[in-house]
Amino acid sequence: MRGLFNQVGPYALAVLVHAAAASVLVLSVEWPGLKRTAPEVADSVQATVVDEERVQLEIKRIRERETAKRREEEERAEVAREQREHEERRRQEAEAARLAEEERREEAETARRVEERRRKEAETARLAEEERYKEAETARRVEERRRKEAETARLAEERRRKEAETARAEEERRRAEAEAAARLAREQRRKEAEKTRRRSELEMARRKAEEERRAKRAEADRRRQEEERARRKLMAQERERLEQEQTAIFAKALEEYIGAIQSSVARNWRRPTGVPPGLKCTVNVVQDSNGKVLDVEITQSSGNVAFDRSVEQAVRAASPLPRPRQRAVFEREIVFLFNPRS
Amino acid sequence: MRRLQRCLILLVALFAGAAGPAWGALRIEITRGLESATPIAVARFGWSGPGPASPESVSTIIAADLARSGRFAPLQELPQHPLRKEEVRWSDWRRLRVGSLVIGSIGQAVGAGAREYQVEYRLFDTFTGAQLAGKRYPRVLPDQLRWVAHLISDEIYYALTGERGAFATRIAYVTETAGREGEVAYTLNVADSDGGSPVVLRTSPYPIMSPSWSPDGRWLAYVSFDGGSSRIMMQELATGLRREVTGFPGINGAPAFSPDGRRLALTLSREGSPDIYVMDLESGELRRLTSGPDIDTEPAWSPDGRTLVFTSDRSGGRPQLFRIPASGAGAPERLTFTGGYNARAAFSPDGSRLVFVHDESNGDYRIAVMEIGNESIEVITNGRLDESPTFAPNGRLILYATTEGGRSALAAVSIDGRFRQRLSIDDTGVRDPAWSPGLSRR
Repeated sequence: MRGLFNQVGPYALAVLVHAAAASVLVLSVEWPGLKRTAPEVADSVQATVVDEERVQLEIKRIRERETAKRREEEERAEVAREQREHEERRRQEAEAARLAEEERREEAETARRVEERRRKEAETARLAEEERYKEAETARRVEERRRKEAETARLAEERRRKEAETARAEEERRRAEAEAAARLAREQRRKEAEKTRRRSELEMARRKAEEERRAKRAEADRRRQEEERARRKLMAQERERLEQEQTAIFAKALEEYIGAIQSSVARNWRRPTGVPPGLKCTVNVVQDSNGKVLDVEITQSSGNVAFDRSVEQAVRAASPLPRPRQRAVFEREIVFLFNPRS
Repeated sequence: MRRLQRCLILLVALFAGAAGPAWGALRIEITRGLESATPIAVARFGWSGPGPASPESVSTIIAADLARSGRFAPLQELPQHPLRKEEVRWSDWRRLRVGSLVIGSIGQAVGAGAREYQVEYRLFDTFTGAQLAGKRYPRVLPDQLRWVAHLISDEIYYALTGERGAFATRIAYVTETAGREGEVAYTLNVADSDGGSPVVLRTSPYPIMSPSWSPDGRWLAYVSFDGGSSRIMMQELATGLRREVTGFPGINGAPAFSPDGRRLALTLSREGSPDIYVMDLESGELRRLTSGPDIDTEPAWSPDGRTLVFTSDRSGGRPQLFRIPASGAGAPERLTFTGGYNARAAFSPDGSRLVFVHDESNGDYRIAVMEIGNESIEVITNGRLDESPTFAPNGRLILYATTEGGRSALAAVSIDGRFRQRLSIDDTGVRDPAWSPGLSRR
């Protein structure tokens, strides 16, 4: 409908425009009518002129009779009159020419107006014709559109119909498939259930066997662990006993070792004479596994060269240091504190 | 098991009285040791060049020097006498527990006259094989060989003790000899610190007493009785030049050079009783430090030159030691209170001690040492008539005169009195020893 309006709009606008144009034309046509009154006035003037000439002629005859008396004045009046007549003639001629010209122009104007009226009528007719054509065209187009719309609707209806048909067929197909699948699934489930049942039966049997085996094994483990615990306890007791024994042996061996080194170094120590009392000296001694002194380092000097030297030489002179009865008490490094008490 | 060991070690270490932590090492305390002179071996210095063997045994002098110090015990029987390091059989020395070995050689000096030697020595630690000292003396005249031996002794002593030796020093002393016809001759001598190379400075039929060294070691002051009266003389060692310092009536005695060498302390009795004076050697000006009717004598300078210690009977009866400022300002201060006789004092080089003659009132005159500021004294000799003690310039030994069997001789004693040794001077009577100051060169 909107489309239709859109199409009608321009036509309506055209009609309005033409109507306006036509009214303007009507107005234009009226105005020359007003002008026409002037020539009617001119016609009355012309009539007046004609009456004067008769007057004049009457006057002339009266005067010619009087002229006899006054010839002289007559003659001069004659000259003046002639002059005036000439003047008048010329003026009349000009007026005649002017009137002729006026007439011609009036005729041309009348012709032109006629022509114009004809042209306008033709134009109006053409416009009317055109309007009619346009209306017919519009009607045709509306009809055409209606036809096309009807056609489109028909096609759409046709398509809907076909689609509905297709959908129906599809629905039918799906339904069939679903039914088939459901059937298959039911069958599958049934088979699966059957299989599961069989398997679980087997599994249960297996489990039972396994549990029995496990129970037997656990029992065996428990017995073994108990035995192990007992054995360990015995071993620990034995080890403790041995350790205590060894500790005692070790302590004794260490004591002996220290004593042996002490006396060996003391035996080899020549405390120098002539040094002040109260000197102390600490040395770090490194020995190899045979007791051979490898290095003697004074870590805390007594401050007295002779004393320090005697300490270092005591350790070196005692080399090789006594070896322990037990290897375990051996120490590679020994710190000696030389601290004479006298 | 390992942890257990550590615990035990700790326990044992604590038990052993070890101080301070020492993880991973045994700690052993050594409290006993044979106190003795340090064993040392001085191998015979060989003749390293062609020709005859050395005229004097340098190594013997060195060994004797070290032994005389009381701090070293040179080995008597040596397993070898190596001349060079490569010849040393280290194990031999280690087995003998001799930690120090001196080797050396004497040879013809290179590019010198036939009578000049070169001497070299090396000191080794036999346990480590390390060389502790060593030197070569390239040109030594025969009469310098003993002195070089003393120089080497000083170097060895320094290397092994860290202290300066006093072997290359000299002693002055007076000897008394009887002539063929019974006349007695007095001689002023100077010898090496071991009594070797004695040189006679002056001989007189009159007594000579109290020699005193100038601090530079160039002069000796002494008391001469030439002509029957006492006077104080000075004699230059190098030239023999003599000079009379004092010749006052009465006693002119006990000269002592001040530490700066510019003054001389002495005893004069020109005012009646013997008193202590100080003379300015430049001007001859005398200054009296003590007065009174008592005997004041035997002045000794403190090393800083500020005080004098002298012998006086001013406390009544027996002589004691007194101290007085060298300026003379101040009253004498008594220092000794032990025993009936304390006289003839000398300062130790560090000024901390006095050595003097002491009699405990039993008639035995012995040498005693006293620390300044401490009244207790320590007697360090055991003779019956020990006198004239004098400190070695390194303060380790004291030289003195001792009389045994009617013969006086010189002896040295360590300052702790634990080591004494006679000096080999074969004269009838040796008295008044005076140890020289430290000498760098002869």
